[in-house]
Amino acid sequence: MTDLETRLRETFERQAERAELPVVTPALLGRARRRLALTVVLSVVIVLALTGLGVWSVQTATTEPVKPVHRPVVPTVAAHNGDLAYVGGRLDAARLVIRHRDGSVSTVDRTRIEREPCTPYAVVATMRGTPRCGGFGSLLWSPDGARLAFLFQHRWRHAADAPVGLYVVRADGTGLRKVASCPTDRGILPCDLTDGAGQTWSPDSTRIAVSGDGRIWTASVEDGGFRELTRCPPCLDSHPAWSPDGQSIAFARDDGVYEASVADGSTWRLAALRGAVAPVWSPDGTKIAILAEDGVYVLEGVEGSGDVRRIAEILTPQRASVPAWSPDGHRLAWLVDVSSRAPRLGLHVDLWTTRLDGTPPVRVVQGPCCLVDQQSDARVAWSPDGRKIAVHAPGHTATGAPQGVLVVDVASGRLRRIPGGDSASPAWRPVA
Amino acid sequence: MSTIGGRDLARLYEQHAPAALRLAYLLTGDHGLAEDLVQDAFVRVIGRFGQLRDELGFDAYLRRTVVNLSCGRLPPTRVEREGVDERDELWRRLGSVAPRQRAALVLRHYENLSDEQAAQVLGCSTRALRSLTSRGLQALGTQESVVAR
Repeated sequence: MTDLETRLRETFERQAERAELPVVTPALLGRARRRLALTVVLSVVIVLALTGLGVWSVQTATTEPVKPVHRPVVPTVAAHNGDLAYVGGRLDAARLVIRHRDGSVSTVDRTRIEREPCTPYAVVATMRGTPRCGGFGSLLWSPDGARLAFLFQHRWRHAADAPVGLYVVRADGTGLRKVASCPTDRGILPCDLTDGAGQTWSPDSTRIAVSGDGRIWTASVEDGGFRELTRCPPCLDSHPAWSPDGQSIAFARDDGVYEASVADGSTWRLAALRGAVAPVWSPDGTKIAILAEDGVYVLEGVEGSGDVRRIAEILTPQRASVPAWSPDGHRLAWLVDVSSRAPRLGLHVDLWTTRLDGTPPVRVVQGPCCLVDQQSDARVAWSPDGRKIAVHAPGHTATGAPQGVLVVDVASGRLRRIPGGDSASPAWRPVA
Repeated sequence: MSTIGGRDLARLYEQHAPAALRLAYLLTGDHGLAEDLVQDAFVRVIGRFGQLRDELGFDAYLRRTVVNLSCGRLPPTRVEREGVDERDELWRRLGSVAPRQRAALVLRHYENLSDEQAAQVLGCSTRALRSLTSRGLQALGTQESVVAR
């Protein structure tokens, strides 16, 4: 310690003796009491404010997403009875075909829905503005296999104006009934007729959700009529997929894949993926396969842990079909349009599958077996036993014959063509 | 008698105010200002007394409040001349030391706090505290050498 510090210490001690304790005046205690009272009042105000904020939060929570807790669902790997539904016939004479295992066929003819005469396709093709016949699309069996839902685009001159209706029919072709007309309030396309994209059944087979007019709608099969589930005016919502536990519906929006609560319509984003379309739930409800602009993705942990990984790359300008889960949820299948890779061979698609266990995807069928028209959308559908995959690759073979529906044996890769002309929209009928 | 959390307000004041007043006086060099500071600090600490875990923290909290209030209020050149022992030139020169430097000197050489404890009271790093102390001593020493010439 320096001399200066020593003297400073002595100075401090000497001066400190000069400081006298003031008397505890009533004024001091009064100030202290007032200060204390102010603190108490402020504390009460803060508590009340926080309580009010909490109440307000609870009240406004009705507009916040109430995310359901998804629990794994035991997949129902039901043996199918061999029934396969598809759209058959020429464009001017389309009909819904349900081909039974015993070889018998049940059909829903166009004339059961619209009675107007149908202009021959040759005339429609050459005379612009001629009304086209109505057509079937987006076939989907109810989970219990009791009914087949489909969309019917009524006779139309311009596709955008064509009214579309949602219908159901029993497996034997009876009980045809219109559930609802697809909305067109916003002037956007009504229900999406794209196979595998336009509609989804609730797991209990009582309701159907569709995408239409840029929104997602739900309808009770018994009561009919659509109820709006999502509303996002600048958005285009599409590809609804009902969760296996029935609590929510995943769908595609402009900037990713979203989920909507069936209970209150609240929505939230599950994954941000550019150009994402077609979310598809795994049968147990724990994963979602997503077709996006640059590949096929799988979202694991739909509770929010949200791990999205790409399992297959799709190189531009290739196009891929909506991926389809095998009934046991262990595999995915999709088609890739590889026309650009071998232009001399014409347009064709490859069929790919993957086991999701880290092993690379396997090409089960390589074109040019599956020639498709350039503008067509190829689709795949697993048979309920997971042994076969029905491929809808609309178009014509190299010999000019209609492509129809092909059934691929997954193990051997062998193909079998199902007769039926220009058939489309294969849909295996499950058995509950 | 007023009580806070079962504690006697007057007793708290009598127990802690003398030390706080001495500290405030050394920091300000002004009796009136020191009393005001202590009362203000006492009232503030009483207001937050419920947040203190125990009474042992009261003293430290009060000291810190006194120091902070003194640094915020005291004009650097304010020196009480009345009653100051003419022999105590060092005390007079303390009046021109910057408040935080003076506070650092008081905490280190009167309160006998360690560098770390003093730094905590002033809300600065130990390094900064040493710098304040050093510059405070330097200011006093410089003035001393000027006076000596």
